Amino acid sequence: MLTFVRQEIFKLVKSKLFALSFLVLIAFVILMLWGFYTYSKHKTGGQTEFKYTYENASYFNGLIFSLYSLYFAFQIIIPITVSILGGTQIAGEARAGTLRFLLTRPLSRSRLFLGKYLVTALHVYVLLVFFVVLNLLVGLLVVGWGDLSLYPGPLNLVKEPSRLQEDEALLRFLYATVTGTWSLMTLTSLAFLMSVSFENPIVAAFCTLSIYVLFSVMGRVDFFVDLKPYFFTVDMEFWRDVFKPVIPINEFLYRTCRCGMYTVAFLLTGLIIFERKDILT
Amino acid sequence: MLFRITGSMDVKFFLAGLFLTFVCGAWYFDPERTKAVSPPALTDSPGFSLLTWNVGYFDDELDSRAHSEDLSHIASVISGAGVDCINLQEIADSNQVSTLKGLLGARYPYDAMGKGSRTDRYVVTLSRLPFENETLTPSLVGRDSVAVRFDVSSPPLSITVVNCHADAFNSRRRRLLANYLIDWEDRAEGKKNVLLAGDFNLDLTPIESSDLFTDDKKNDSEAYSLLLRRFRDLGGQAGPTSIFNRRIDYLFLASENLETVEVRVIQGKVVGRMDHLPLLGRFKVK
Repeated sequence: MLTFVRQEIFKLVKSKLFALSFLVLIAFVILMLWGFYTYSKHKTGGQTEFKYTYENASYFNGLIFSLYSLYFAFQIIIPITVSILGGTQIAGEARAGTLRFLLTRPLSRSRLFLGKYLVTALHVYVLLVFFVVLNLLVGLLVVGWGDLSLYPGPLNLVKEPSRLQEDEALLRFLYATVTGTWSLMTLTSLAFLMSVSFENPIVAAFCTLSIYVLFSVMGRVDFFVDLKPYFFTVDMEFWRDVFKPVIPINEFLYRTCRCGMYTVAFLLTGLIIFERKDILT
Repeated sequence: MLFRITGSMDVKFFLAGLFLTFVCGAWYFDPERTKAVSPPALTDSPGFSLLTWNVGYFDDELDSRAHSEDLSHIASVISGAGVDCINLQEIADSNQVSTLKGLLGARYPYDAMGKGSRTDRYVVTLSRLPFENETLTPSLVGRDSVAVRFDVSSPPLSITVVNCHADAFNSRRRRLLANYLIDWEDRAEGKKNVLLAGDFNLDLTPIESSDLFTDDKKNDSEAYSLLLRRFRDLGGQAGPTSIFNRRIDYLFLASENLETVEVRVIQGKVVGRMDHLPLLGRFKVK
């Protein structure tokens, strides 16, 4: 199993998808910088000082930039990346004609399935760490760090003005890499389920993303208020609770367990389908 | 552990066990299951109470101001609440005020009505206690607010209640109103216990909203944060005050002498096409 995982990591690192996944996030950070720069220029009549708002001279610093960037990326760009990463794992091998070859090795289908899942989970974690570190570094270089001031409204994080000290805020970013990864494992597991259900990685990724976007949109429309508790996308948003001044432990653990439920349910279903599937390619 | 599992059944059992563990964990940590509801504290201390209510109709209506045919219902809600002071918004004209006072009998003999140069709807304060009133005229907003000062309890305690109705469509104007109220409170002499009660149209909707970052949200957030520097938002736990689950009617308090006994939204009292619920606040003197 270890050997298989090492091989998969090697394959992953050598693949174009690996490099592309990082490039997309770099492009996003550049876009965020451009967005903030032009917004501040527009709002301050050309002075490009976005530091002064909320009558707080240090509101907009590298930490708040990183938080905004992470928050916005989590809405769609990271889920797209994760859907593609997960969707290509089994379906991609089937499409390339290498899945049968892989299964001729002395490796059970369950180990193959879980091994690939483990490697994908590692990839997602590394991506998230890279993204957070990149944002923090860019924020430090362009604006500088400071305390993380939070206000009700934008980011939908707090109900009253709050503040995290710089050291504490940096620690919360570290926590966010873990909670973010856990949250994304739900989507990754769904992508794996689609990947074993379809022979085509594009269809698998498309289905995963469609389900994610559908639930995500419906979860924010009041028509579906009764259905909302059953959408996994609602539970996935727990990752940002680590940025609240006082982390609501009960709610946090509740959502963590719910994400775990969905993750394992999708994974188990995918495994059962994969084991019974007749591999023809 | 994964590497030692030899059979696929073991893996499935392991995953099934993990699933059940998470289900149990979710049940155990469910916030709804562990939430305790405290009944409102009762007190015999002298106190003060008020109701704020935007009695207008939903914006889509041809006339979204208060409708005269609803005045008897409004009067019955006010009578049922039994408060000292009522702040109403979206009143169409002084005839409605006269009719309402008539329906309420002699219980609320005092009233103050805001004016405005560019508006067709007004704020009105009704009270069973005499007061001194002052009209606040925030620039660029176009709709005046009204501040009334009561003397309650013994020894006398002066309470100032401000009735506001912020612009529903322009977040910059809402921000300007917040600035104005803070400046007014700064300048004011003898205003030690100030209650802002009205329709501020500050739509922050923490957590639930799908808006990531908009100018409206930024302006509303800044207005709200500015007000919180001087005032406490009392209605945070009261729930939505308007349709679509929006909390846009507020009770803000800046006082060391008043303690909040109860703040709640009165449910089930809208008629016609009203889109706001009454917000009630009860206070006791420390």
